[in-house]
Parts: sequence; C-alpha cells; structure tokens
Amino acid sequence: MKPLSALSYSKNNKKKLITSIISIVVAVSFLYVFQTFVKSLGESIYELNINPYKNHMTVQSIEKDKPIPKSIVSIIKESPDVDNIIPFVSYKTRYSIPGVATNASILGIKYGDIAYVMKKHNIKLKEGRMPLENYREVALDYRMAQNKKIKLGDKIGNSIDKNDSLDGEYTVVGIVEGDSYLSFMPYDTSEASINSNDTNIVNNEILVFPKDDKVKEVDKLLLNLPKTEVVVMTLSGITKNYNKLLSTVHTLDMICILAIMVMVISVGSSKYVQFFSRKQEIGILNAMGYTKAELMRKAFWEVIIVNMIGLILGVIIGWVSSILINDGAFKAVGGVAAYFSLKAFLMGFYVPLFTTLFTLIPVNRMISKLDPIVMIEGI
Amino acid sequence: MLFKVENLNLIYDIGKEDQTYALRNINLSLEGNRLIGIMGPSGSGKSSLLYSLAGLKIPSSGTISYMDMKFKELSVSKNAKLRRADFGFVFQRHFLIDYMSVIDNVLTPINDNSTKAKEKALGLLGKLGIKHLANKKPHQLSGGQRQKAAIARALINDPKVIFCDEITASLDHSSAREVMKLLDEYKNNALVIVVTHDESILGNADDIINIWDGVIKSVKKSEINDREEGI
Repeated sequence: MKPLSALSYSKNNKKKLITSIISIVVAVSFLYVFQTFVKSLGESIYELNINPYKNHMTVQSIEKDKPIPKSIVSIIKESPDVDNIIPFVSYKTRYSIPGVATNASILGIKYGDIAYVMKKHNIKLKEGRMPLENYREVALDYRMAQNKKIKLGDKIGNSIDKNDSLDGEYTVVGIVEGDSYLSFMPYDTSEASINSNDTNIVNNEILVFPKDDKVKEVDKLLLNLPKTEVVVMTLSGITKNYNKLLSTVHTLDMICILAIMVMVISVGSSKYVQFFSRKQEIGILNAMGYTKAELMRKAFWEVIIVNMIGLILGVIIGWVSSILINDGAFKAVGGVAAYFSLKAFLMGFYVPLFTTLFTLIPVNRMISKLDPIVMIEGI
Repeated sequence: MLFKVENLNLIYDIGKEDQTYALRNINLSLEGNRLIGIMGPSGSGKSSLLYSLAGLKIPSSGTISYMDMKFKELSVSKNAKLRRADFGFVFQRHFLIDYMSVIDNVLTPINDNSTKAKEKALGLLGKLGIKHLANKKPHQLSGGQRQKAAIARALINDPKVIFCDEITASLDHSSAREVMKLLDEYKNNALVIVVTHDESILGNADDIINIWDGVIKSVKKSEINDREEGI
C-alpha cells in the first residue's frame, strides 16, 4: 500500500473512516427503506384495484334506480370481442395496510356464474369450500383473510366491522387464491331490490369479460358508451385513476429530496472540515512537489472510498431492513412487500454522489488556493 | 551552474504605498556539492531567498535558473515535478504527517512502498539512529527524533539540492549539532543550503551568505574550503 494512497489513509484513519461511513450508511439505508415502503404501498394498492380489471370491466347504470338501458346491453352483448356479461352486486369490505385504509370487493353473483368468473380470473379454492346458494356464506381471497386476520368459520359483515357493506353476519366457508383480490358470495341479482339495505351498489351492474387478447377492443367499446347513461370502469380508466393517485407520491419524493439535501450538507461539511484540518499535510505535500492535480486526485479517491463503502453497506442494510419491515407491514397483512426498487437504489445513490460533489468542490477550491509557503511560514 | 540568480527582487504589497522589499537586487551563482549557510536576523529575507531558490516563491523581477532552466518559464506542474525529483526540504517544524508511521512519512516524497524503497528508508533512519522508531507515529517521538525523520524524508529521493529552513530553531543545542553533523555528511552528495540566524551551527559550512534587509551583505568563504566550485 503506497504511503499516499487513499487505502493507506483509510487504514491509518479507521475512526474517521467509520464515522463518515456510518453517516452515509444511515442516509442510504433510510432512503432505501423509505422508497421500498412506498413501493410496497403502491403495489399493494395496484394489485387490489387494478388486477381485477385485467380480466373484467364493469358497466353500471348512472342512476341507482334505473337498469342499464337495453340498447347498451345489446351493444355489449353483440360485440364479437365480448366473451360474456354477468350481472353482479359489489360489496365492500375493509382492507387496511400501513398508511391506507381502503375497501376490497366481494362479488355477489349468481351461484352458477361463480365458477366462470373464477376461471376467467384464474382463481382457485385454497381452503374450505365454496359458499352455498341461499346461505349467508362467503369465500374470501386469501390476502383479504390475512388482512382481516380471518380463518375458516369466522364471520364478517357490518355487525362485526361497521365499515363492511355486507349487512349482518356472513360465515367465511372458503379461502380462494388468484391474481385478483376477489372474494365471492352467491347472490341472485335478478331478485335484488333497489332499496335492499344489504347492498351497496345494488342492481343493474354488469361484469364484462373480454375474449382472450381483446381487452383493448372492449376497453375502447365501453369507453365509447354514452356517459349520460352508464358509468364504465375499464383497465385503462382505472389505471389512469391510479396514476393520478400516484402523483401524490411525488410529495413523498420531495421529502426524500429534502432528506438527501440535509444529509448531503451535514455529511459533506463534516468531510470538508476533515480536509480543512489537513491543510498542513496538503500544503507540505505541495511544497515537496506533489501537484495540485495529484493532491486533488488523492482527495477524490479518499472521498470515493468512504462513499462507495457507505453506499454498498447502506444498500445491503436497506435491503435487509426492507425485507424485515415490508414483510411485517405488508406481506403479513396480505399486501405486496417490495424489497428492491431502482428508485430506492437511485435515491440511495444520490447521497454518496452529492456528498462526493459537495465535498470535492470546496476541497478543490481549498487546494487550488493553497500556498505552501504561507502554510510553512504561518507557524 | 546549479543555481544562477540575476537581479532578483521580491517585493511584498507591490503597487501599494508601503511596499516591502524582501529581496533586493540579488545576484548569485551556486555550484557543486557543498554546505552553504544563509545567515541573517529575523525578517532579513534569508527564508525568502531560500524559497525563491526552491521555486516556491515567484520573484517580482529578475530570474532564477536551476540547471539552466528558468523557473519563470516552467509551468506550475513542471515546477512541482522538479521539486519532487531534485529537491529535498527540511523546515523549522518537522511537518510530519501525524497519522502515518515514521517510515511512511519518510517514503512520502517517492510514494513507493516497494521492499527496495523501504530498505532505503530504513537505511536512512539507521544512519540517523532512529531505525527502531520506524513504525512509531510522530507524536511518539521527541523533537530531535522528529527532525531526524524529516531529514530522512528530505533525503529519500536522493535530491541534488537540500533546502533547510531554520531546522535547529526548535531543537536543543546537542540535537542541533547532531542534525548539522548529518547534513555535513550529506554535502558530498548534494548542495545543502541551510538558513539560520545561529552562526554556531554553520561551523562546517563551505560558504556563508550574510543577508540584511533583503540585500546580500557578504559572502564568507570557509577557511577549510579548498574546492574549486563555490559561490
């Protein structure tokens, strides 16, 4: 190890090195965990709200007490891109993840249609059995069951949780598993009355299933339906809404940027102070014949070593912490746990990047202004 | 000719009302391997002359040439490279780097950690009687030992010229004599220029330049100097 190498400096100044690295590690790992936490939140909401619309779309009468106009139903039915339409009633049940309390759907559909809907959504029975017709029974998605800490035989409904739209008590007889967060209960939609107090959206709402690879065409068809008659929810529409919601996440990014600025200023200034205290060393090396460019290169590598070690350790610690935190906060309650995100890595990377810059710019100014004679004679 | 100084003036606060002449109309030629003392009271300009000769101070007017190279014609980086290759420096304070061991401090001018370089550094430390302190940090050494380490550092690159600025000022008398004895031994290999205000340490100097108010007042040839070269 050459005496003036950055490694030799690091070896001879372990305490200073460790102190500087710890600051970077804390900053990088905090930002990494923060970003993966936000990603877990976003992905959990995405899967809950968007995934069902990858296989079906919904059309709802604009007025609660009027059915969907027959002409509109005919347009949909007769479309060569539509595989099937199924009347349904949507119930909401509370779904809570850290930072968000929202609702998940329980589809009330005819007993005979449940198998079709499950097949289209690639949903399978995981535990128990499917609910029987004319019984107050429900089959819950396994993530919903996790979220509500429910097992077979437990009951749900607004007598248990006032936030649920299921009136009274329903027994969970089955747990289903699939890509969408969908739960099922048999419900005779033709019998449902508009004023029924156990329904939220009541009658006159249909699920529209596109044929394979015809999602875009059906999406377009439904979006062209008269908006004065029906409300449609398609994959593109719901994705648009989701992206609007995501724009609020930019506020969180601003928090991250502020945190980065604070960390960079504090770490950068402490590094600069370290260099400032080495003015004599730098001056004497310059007097000996080391050019300012060589001294700057030495400072560059010293700063790079600290920041690179800090970045690597910070990402590793951030990643491990993300596994522990997001598994506990999201996966354990039926959400999505993210452990890696490019954005998290980039946000973490900004800390050493800007710390390096904010250290080297003043150090460069200090070295370029340095007069070894002033330093030697100034004793 | 190793050094040639022509009409050298070094003025501080140039252009201001009370500008100060640190050096005034200096003409000097230095040749050969010998020990030269620059004597004078504080503020007489002796250190200014030393650092001008080393290329560390830029003259206000006049020229300084080293081996026919004019400093003012050299770029800053070439000047620095020349200092590193040909010059060695010992200052009033040791200026050892506190976090490095003595041997690493000695190796800094060549920034080499090869076995050969280490052996050479240990050899120098051995000659200076501090080989056993090679792995110590500067704060573990006495003032004299630190100055010896600084001398070893100045010698590691086999310099052609060694510049010494008040190197005995912070040493006791016996340490000062010891240090001067070491430099005297080295004068066969390089031109050694020692700035001091203490004439007693220049007993073995080949020539002594007396400087006063930035002007060379006299150049005293040593009586024992029988060399052809000189000032």
